[in-house]
Amino acid sequence: MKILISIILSLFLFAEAEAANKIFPAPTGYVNDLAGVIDADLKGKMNIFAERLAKEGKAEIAIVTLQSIKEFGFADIEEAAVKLFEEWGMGKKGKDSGVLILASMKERKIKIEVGYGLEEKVPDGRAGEIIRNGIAPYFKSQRYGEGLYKGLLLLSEAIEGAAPPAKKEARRGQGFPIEIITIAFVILVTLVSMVLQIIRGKGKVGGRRYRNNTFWDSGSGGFGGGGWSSDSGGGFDGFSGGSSGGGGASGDW
Amino acid sequence: MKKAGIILIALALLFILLGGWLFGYYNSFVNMDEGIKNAWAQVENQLQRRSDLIPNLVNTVKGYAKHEKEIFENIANARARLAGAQSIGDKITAANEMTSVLGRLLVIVEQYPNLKADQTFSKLMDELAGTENRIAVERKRYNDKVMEYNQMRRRFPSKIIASMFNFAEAAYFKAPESAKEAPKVDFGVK
Repeated sequence: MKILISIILSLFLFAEAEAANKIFPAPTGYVNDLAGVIDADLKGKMNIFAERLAKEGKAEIAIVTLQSIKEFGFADIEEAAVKLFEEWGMGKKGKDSGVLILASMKERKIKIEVGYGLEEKVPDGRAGEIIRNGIAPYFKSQRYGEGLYKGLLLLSEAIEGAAPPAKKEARRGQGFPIEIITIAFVILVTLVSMVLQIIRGKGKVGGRRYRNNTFWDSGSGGFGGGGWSSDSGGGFDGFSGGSSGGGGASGDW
Repeated sequence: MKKAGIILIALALLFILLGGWLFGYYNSFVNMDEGIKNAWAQVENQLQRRSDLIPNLVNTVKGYAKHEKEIFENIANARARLAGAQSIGDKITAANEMTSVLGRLLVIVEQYPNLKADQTFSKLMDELAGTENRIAVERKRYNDKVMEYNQMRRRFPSKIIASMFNFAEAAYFKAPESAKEAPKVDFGVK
């Protein structure tokens, strides 16, 4: 009876927690261009890039543009970013290896929110630099897609640790041929997506419901654009429950 | 005889039910209390992080604005008070004081364009702004937990258990009014 009651109690608590209303629509990919300012080509590139980082287990990066944070009831981009991060959960659970790049067009504000696990690799100062020197200059001339792409590249540099050019050269000579790595990766991705498909076939929703969401612009249906990622049926299966605590930086243009 | 048996069983069931109910609430209180402690630890981490930033920040500002002695003194005092605070209430007061002193520093900094152009300084400002933001986030999470707990403390029937086992009211971390505008560091490119 005690157990039964605690189950009922916990169900009740759980139901309450679940009922906490979601403010943002579910993500449809790594790039969620709600403001519609990124062209399809760059969007595809960014999705492929972010997907690689995610599949390699380095980071789950979400790039989001909004017309205005006010639409979602926020006054500060910082608050909006924290809430969005809570709802989507970029990064592996426990590792908290997620990053959010959020741009709000009307307020002309950019925020890079860094998950707990990446705060060392992307300290606030670095995040601020990425905004000031990487993203903002492009945004000033309305080249939003390019600015965000640049931001993503700089971010991955910070996360992966850009090796100095000389070292890179040397490593290329000794290490694995890049072809083998690529082939192995393609096989891995194919296998993973096959497994995922089998799981989905059994009716267990993985990231499925994200795709059914009609709120999102139809343009993002076939992200990936080309290359191996679309061949292998790879794509976006939702983020994995990481969390953040307000780290990162914000700026404007 | 048969009737008495039924009554006995009914009473036994009632006791078990009551017991389970009591256990359930008691354990929820314990969980929430632990949750609050954990959230507070996060708040303290971030406060510490801010305190750690200060020597660097002060040194950089001193390089450009040596004569602003008063503010440096105030910062040093606030930092010492925060380090010396023991109870959660004292820590909250000291932390709020620190927030407003730092806010004043930022106002002063506005008068030194050379300082604002300094790369190290803008990175430090990013760190400070990020840390203030982290404090705000952890403070909100802490307050949410406190609210949940305090609500349950006052609601019926959990109220009975709270008073039975002395689950005391938890303190909110209220930010001072002045803090709300003060530390909003904005270092975008203009």
